[in-house]
Amino acid sequence: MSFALLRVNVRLSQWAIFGWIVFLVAYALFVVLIYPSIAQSTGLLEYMKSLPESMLGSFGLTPEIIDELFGKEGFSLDGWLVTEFLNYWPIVVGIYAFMFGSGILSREADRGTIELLLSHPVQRYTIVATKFVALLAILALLLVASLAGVLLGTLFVEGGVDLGRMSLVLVQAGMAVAAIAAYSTLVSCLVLDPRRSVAIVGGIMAASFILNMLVPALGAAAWLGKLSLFYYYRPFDVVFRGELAASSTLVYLGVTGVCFLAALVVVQRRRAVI
Amino acid sequence: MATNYAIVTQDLTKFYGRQRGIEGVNLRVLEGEVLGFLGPNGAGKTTTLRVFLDLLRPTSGSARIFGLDTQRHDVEIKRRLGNIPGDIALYESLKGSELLDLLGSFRGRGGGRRIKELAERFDLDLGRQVRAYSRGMKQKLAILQAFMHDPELLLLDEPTLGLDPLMQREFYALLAEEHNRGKTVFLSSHILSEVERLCGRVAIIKEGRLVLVDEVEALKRRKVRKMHIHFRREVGKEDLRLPGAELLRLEGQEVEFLMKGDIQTLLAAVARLPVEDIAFPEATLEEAFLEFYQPAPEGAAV
Ligand SMILES: Nc1ncnc2c1ncn2[C@@H]1O[C@H](COP(=O)(O)OP(=O)(O)OP(=O)(O)O)[C@@H](O)[C@H]1O
Ligand SMILES: [Mg+2]
Repeated sequence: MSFALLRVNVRLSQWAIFGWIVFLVAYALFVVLIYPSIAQSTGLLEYMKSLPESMLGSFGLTPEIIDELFGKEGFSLDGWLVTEFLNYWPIVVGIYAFMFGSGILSREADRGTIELLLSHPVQRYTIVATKFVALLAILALLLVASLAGVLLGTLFVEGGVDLGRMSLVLVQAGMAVAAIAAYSTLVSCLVLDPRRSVAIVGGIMAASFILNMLVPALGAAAWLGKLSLFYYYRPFDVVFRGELAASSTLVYLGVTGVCFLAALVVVQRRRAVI
Repeated sequence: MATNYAIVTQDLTKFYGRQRGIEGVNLRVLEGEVLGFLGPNGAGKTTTLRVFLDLLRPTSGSARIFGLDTQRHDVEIKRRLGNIPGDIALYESLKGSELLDLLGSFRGRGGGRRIKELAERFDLDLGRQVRAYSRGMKQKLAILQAFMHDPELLLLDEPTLGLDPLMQREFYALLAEEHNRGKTVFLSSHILSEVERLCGRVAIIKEGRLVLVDEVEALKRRKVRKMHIHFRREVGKEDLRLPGAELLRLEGQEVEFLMKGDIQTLLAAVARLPVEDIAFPEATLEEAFLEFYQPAPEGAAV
């Protein structure tokens, strides 16, 4: 780890970070602020309950969870936030993670800046590890900003949120995005052409997302859904139970750790880094 | 005293897939010498330097710097060298000083005074964003990052690219000082006068293979020399058939010969002609080298 390089990388991304923070806060605010207007309507709830169970299952929902989470009279704010904001958080922030991650080595190699860094006494793996940590730090910032956006919103509407449970959901979402960041970093070290690495990572991400959506339609092949990282993101479950499922945590931390270490090994053993 | 080598390569070979980069390069760079590394475009100069930095690993063979293998001890080696890359790419949104801080951080603190000295010497404003630098200013920043830690060995890939003549001169002066302080310089360049002025020895690489390593002086001596004669009046071509000289040019009273054979008999023959003035222009490295830049004849072994 190099703190100077960490600082520089955060600084080089400062405008992107700023933009994402504004976007996430606005998104969270928007979802919270329109809550009063849908709180009384039962139509959406009726609609959700009318969906086939297999489909609800793909969101991690059961009729039981729906009753508990959303109440019988319409959506609770917690339920509304999870449905409209937290549910999409990993895919939205995952876009940032994969854009940054897939360029960690490949963009430096393509621009030639890697030659400048590696003209000085620094290990190749230090560069990759430091940039990965910089990405995690930025993601943590986006997580905090999201929570802040929610909190800000609750100042203006009736009925608060269960902050503990919302945070717990964000922790799982954060782990999902960390896993995305890690495999993007690995691809970046494997494929030095940044256009190709971003295409590969983006392709995997889109395929995972679609695969997870398709689980109800897959029938006997539903196990395929487990190949998707999004499969393990269960925000409703987390809110309902008030705890993280160990299996999801294990998968996310496992993928993150393995891909990260693999990336370090790959960059160290590459025959060319330019 | 045993000879010490800063760099030793052994059958160093690097292929990019099937494209040859360099092949079978055996080179020894003496500690404390300034070695010019010359060759036509695509000859393999940058490839060689990138192998030294472990940016590229050899397909076969090896390179040792300070006696250490470049693949296994790259960080130790880099602690003691400075490098100016051939294609400099910098972080555009950093200030010059911030970039030097970052690169300096890999070497621990220090070097601040030398950076300040060098920045003044090369008249570079480190407070500005790299994005706003001109081509030559970027080159100066590359020079600063290579020299700021006072390294023992300098790897320079076309270091004066984009510098104005004044700054080029400043850079040559800096190199000469470093040389006098015992530093080793490995200088890849296309500017032959620069190499001639700075280097004790030159290595020439062509199509990936080392074709010659010799002292600059020896090369110049080896080169066939020319003789210019200004006659008092015009002389017929038949009178200019001289022993050991080949007529190159005849323009009125101006004649140019290529000297090949024994100079004694030649001078005796010249003495019989109406000579007004005679000159032996010194052979430049340019003349000695240009032949190496010609493409190899079809089917000829290099
Ligand atoms: N990344 C690469 N992929 C494939 N071939 C390469 C690559 N880099 C260099 N080469 C090839 O290797 C050979 C040597 O190139 P190199 O850049 O070392 O030449 P050079 O002597 O530095 O030339 P120049 O004087 O133009 O800078 C060339 O044929 C070049 O096309
Ligand atoms: Mg080159």
